[in-house]
Amino acid sequence: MAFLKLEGISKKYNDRFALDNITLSVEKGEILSIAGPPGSGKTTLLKIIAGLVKPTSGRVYVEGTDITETPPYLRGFSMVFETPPVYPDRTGYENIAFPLRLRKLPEDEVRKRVYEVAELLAIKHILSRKPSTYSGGEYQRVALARALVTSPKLLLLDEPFRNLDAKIREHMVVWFKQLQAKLGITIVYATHDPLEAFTIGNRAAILLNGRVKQYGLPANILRNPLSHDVDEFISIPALNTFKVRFRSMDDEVLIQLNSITIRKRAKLNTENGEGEAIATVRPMDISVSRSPGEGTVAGRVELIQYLGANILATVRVGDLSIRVVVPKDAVIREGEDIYLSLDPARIRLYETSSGRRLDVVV
Amino acid sequence: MEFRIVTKALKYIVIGVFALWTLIPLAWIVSLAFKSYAEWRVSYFVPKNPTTDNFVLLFKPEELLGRYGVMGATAIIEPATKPLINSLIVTAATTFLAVFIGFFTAYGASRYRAPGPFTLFFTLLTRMLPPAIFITPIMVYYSNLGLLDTYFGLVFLYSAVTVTYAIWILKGFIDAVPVEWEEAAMLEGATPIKVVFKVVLPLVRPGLVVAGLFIFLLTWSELLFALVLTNISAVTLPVHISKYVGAVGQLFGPQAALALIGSIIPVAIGYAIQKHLVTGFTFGMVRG
Amino acid sequence: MSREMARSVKLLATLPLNILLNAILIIPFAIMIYLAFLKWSPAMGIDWWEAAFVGVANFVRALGDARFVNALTNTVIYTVSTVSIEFLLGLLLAYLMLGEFTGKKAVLSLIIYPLMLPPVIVASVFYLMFQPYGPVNNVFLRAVLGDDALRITWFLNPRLAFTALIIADIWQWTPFIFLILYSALSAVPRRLVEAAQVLGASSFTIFWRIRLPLIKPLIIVAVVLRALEAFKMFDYAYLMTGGGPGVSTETISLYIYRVSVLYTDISYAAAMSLVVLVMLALVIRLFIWYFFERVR
Repeated sequence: MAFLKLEGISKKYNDRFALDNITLSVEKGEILSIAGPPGSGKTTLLKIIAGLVKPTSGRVYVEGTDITETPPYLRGFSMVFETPPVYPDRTGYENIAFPLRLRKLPEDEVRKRVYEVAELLAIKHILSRKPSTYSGGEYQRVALARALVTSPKLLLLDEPFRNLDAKIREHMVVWFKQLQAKLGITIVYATHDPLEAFTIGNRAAILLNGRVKQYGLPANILRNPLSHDVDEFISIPALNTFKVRFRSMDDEVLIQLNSITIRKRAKLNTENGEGEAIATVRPMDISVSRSPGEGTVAGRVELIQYLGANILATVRVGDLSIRVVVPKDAVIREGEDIYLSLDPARIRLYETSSGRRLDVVV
Repeated sequence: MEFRIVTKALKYIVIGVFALWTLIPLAWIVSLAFKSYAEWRVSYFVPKNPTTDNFVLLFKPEELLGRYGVMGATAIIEPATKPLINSLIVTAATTFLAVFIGFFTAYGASRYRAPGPFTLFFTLLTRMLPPAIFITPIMVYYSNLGLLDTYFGLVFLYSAVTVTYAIWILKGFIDAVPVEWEEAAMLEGATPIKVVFKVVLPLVRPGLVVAGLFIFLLTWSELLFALVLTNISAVTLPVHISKYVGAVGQLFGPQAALALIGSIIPVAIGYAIQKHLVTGFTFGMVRG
Repeated sequence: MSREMARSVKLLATLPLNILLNAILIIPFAIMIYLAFLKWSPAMGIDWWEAAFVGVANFVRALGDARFVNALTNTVIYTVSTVSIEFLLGLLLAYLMLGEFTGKKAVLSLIIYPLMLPPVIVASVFYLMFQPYGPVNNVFLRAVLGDDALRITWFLNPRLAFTALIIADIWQWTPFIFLILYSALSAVPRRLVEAAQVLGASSFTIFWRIRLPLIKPLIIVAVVLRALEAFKMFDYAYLMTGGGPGVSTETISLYIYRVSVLYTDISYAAAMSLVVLVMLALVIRLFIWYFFERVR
């Protein structure tokens, strides 16, 4: 039995559906990531799970029990918000002890638990200080400690590392995953960053416009997005999107992009054997070389952008602008001629109107 | 560059003059308060034989006859003890009531928009109109209700009139507490009522102090309503002070002594407020 | 707000309390409106709800009452005089206090202490100050008039009495304007000031052209607040001059007080109160229109 189950959760504000028929489940000890752009409904969903918001329809179950009507202070969950409660007028110790004090636990029990948690999160040394002296990472760890000190059944996190410096954030994400493995707490983790979601989550749900568009193992979602908007959302750097014509032939699909023809081994999930569609290719799935070869396409480098470990080059092929990721040590300059090639398995087709994935891998 | 020095000197002179102007009345009062009857009408500052008689006279007016042999053409004003105690009680009660109600109202206004902006504006209005306008109906109203010359009457009136300040001050402080912290507290095990008392209230403590001190100061100083609504039992200090001004026989000495005594608490509170108002006066103003 | 469940609990905590308290103000207000249309005084021996209805007679009487008009005039003159002088002095002082110097904190504390005193006490103090043998006359003695100064009786001369009130007010309330202006001026972003300094502007120019325009809204707030308070003035007039000599220093609050408490002409006092209220409401409305709603 799933630990947490959401069945048909919807939330309507005036005429708008913030959440539309969400059904998800989370196993005990698992991390479920919920990834979605701002405004997609992540926070609302978390708040419904927490009991802070009542769903317009649908039920929430924990270990089989319907808790939809249970008030938040009786659910036994914890949540770390974007601006977590770390009261500035008291010490770290007092902050972490707060939930325990609310439960009127005896002082020695409080002390034991606070120190336990502080030890775990390596913040013992700042317990006697006030939050104004904390660094960003320490602040979030105190917030986390406060959420963990009550040994919650379920931990909800709403972009907890968003306000941190990029480098620190990476570090925190990894550390957090290790922590969870140690503690075995069930977690629902919301973030706008798909890569963070895939790193952290055992399973991921992609939430777009209030709907769960895809749900499953991160590797599967990455490899096989089932709709165009999901593909767009999870691909970083941004996807190449083209309007193409396609024709299906046996177990191949012929894809026509201007003068370029690509044959992909796949079956089509559509009635029409041919027509127009949207095709996507990720920049890192295209290879470059200086000399032409079989199946390469000629182009000219238009723009070079530096992205951390790689270079993003925009290459002009005919009237198309194609983005390609090039290894950093490649010496490439704007204005140069270059040749692009693609493994056809890496191109995906979507129905123009609905964004539905058309090609099914054989 | 000489110009610079001249202007700087001028600046200090002006500031000095202003400081002096502020101090002279205080100096005169101190001087009068320690002058004996014979010196009440002299024009020099330093008493030849300083005495604490005036302070005694405030609490034991019968001594006037004993010490100075005056009677008849002199007002005998009751001891200052009762007015002092009354003021303390009424002011303290008003402060608690106004801050208490102000806190809850401000909380509602901050989190739920209730009371709405109209009601809030109405409370502002109560401060804009001259209190004199209200004395007529309040007199009648209280007379009918038997609230004249009672602690209750005064405290309710004063609270009604000062609660606005509590609301405006506290609302600012409450607004500064992120709503997410209240939501977090609900998950941490607090019912909505507990959230108000255990989360919001402690976090706005500085606001409570400022509002309390401010309301205390205002209420302590109030004269008009006290004049109208009190007679014997609930007479407050300002009323008592007013009896000395222009009293038959012109009891200058005790008048000055009372001014000194009556200033202690307000000035202490004033400086306490100054200490607490780190962000300064403009905190409340900027919102308006 | 997403906490729908707590709404009933919370509203219970806010509205009733506030409304109950307003019963202390709203009901009397309604009573006042009713009273204004009656002819009633406690001296008549009947309860006010039994008194006769006289329509607008009281209002007519108020508008034709020379003493009422006099009180209003006095109050307006008083308000305008005190506020303008306090504004100028306060501004000057705020300007002078802008730099750093030793003992500034002490001077600051000193400057604002008059604000903390109850107006009753300030009235009492200045009553003593303006006595024939008080320091005011002594200062004059030294400076201007020689020994004749000791014979000046402030409270027996209408103009002097009025001036005495104004002086007391200025002494107590200039620090108020000063405080607001000083805080506002200090809060002007340092970058702007420094930029101007780099360009060689004198401290006066910086003050006049940069700081002052930026705090204009606060100036308005300070002046309006002070004006509203000045209009209400009761304590000084009641204690220092009693409205006299004659009625030369009688302010509107004092007159209404007299009519209610001394003459117990309750319904007339109510009518006057309403007249004043309507006038003030109009002025405030005009003010809001002028400053906030005109297309500028």
